[in-house]
Amino acid sequence: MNKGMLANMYPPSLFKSTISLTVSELTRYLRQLMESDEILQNVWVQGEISNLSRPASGHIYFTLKDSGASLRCVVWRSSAARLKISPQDGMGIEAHGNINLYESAGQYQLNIDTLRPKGEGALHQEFMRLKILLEEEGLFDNDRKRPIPGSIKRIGIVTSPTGAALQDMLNTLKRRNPMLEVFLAGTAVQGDGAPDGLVNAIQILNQIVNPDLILVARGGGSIEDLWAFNDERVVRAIVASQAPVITGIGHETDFTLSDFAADLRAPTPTAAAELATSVTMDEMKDQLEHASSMLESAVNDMLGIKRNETVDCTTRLQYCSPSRRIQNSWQGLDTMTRRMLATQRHRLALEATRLEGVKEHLSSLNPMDVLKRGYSIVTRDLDNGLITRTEQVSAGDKLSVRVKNGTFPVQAQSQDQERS
Amino acid sequence: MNKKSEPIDVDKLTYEEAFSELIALVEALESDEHPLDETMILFERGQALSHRCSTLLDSAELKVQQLSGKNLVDLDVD
Repeated sequence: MNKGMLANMYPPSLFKSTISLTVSELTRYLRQLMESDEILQNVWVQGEISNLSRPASGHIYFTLKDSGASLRCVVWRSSAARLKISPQDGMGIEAHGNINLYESAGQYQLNIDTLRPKGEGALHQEFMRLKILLEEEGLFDNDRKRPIPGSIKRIGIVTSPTGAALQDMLNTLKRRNPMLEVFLAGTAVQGDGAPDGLVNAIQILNQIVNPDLILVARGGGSIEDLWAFNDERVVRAIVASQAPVITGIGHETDFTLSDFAADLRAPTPTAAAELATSVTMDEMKDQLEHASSMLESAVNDMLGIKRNETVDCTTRLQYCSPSRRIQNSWQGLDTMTRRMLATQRHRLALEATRLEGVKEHLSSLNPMDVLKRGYSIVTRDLDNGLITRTEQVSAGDKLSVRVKNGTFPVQAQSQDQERS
Repeated sequence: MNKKSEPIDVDKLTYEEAFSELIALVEALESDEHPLDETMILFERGQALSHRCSTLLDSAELKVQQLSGKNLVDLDVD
């Protein structure tokens, strides 16, 4: 294709002739060659910075070199503003960009758009490899993670004893819940000994202190500074910890494998301390106040109920009291007395009426009344017996005849005359 | 709360112990299953527990210990 382009510019007949290319023509050809190469247009190069210059234009120029070669590099002002690290002479870096040709100097150069510390690419690869490995093993599974206890008493901290992170965490804990007991397991958090130190700190906290929760934390730093937290041993120690672990490593944007393994990941050490104290002392004071008022109202309610019960029972008691029964008895007695008197009166009246009747009846039976009508009563003088039949009378018996206005004597004659 | 055993001296309880006993006690009082004289004892203990909790909250000071090997050493923080 490039040959074709050149062939178009210069017809074959001419090209084969002795006519030479100008320097510009050759250089332009080389430039086009470079700019159409995919590898050269998107390449990472690593080396050491030298001959760095920063002219007032804002562009940055330096040479990247290793033991065998050197490469001119330029960072244009627009890219320079976005660099995450500031290049310095002697610094080992990895640079990304495209190769082009600076025609007037006849020099090819790397136009850089991204810089990172040397080795970071390899670290990233290692990070990804390990992440996939541990992920497949299930160490980062959410269902493996333990809940963070809401109310804690003993908290372990794994961090550098001299770092600002420790002070940040202690200040936060002190502010939010000064009732906590804090156990610091100090360790190096970067460098060769850091992974072993971190593992040991986590293990010994679990063994000796048995805290409710462990914070594993470190302040911000470069990816190399945080690298210990990507160590497989540290990840496994976090997984194996009996106490739940909250990590607060680096800044918001930093994610380490320890973060993935932790039961909870906080963006910073301070945030980790805040998440650890989800129940603050102010909230505990509120809870206590609530419980105290519950206590008061429970007793008041109960006393109220008891008081009502007492009143109720008193009423019932009074109802059952002897005095009431006596009252009742009095009342019963009075009633009975009244009834008795009434009955008696009734009875007397009844008797009186009956007496009157009998008297009338009696008077109707008065033999004297018969005499008034002309009848008479005959008695024998001898025995005063009443004569009602003829056989009772013998001749010569002296008799008395009683008539209306008196009595007169008679003597019986012979009976034969009478009987015939 | 166990009625049978002698209750522990309130001043010896931790905040958590005192607070959870206070809650249990409120629930016991609310259930109204205790004789009156007993509830008054419960109430007085509840007040003592509440006071204990307040005291502990008010006097709380972050206690920091550092692991030195397998030993714990007090650490002064400020």
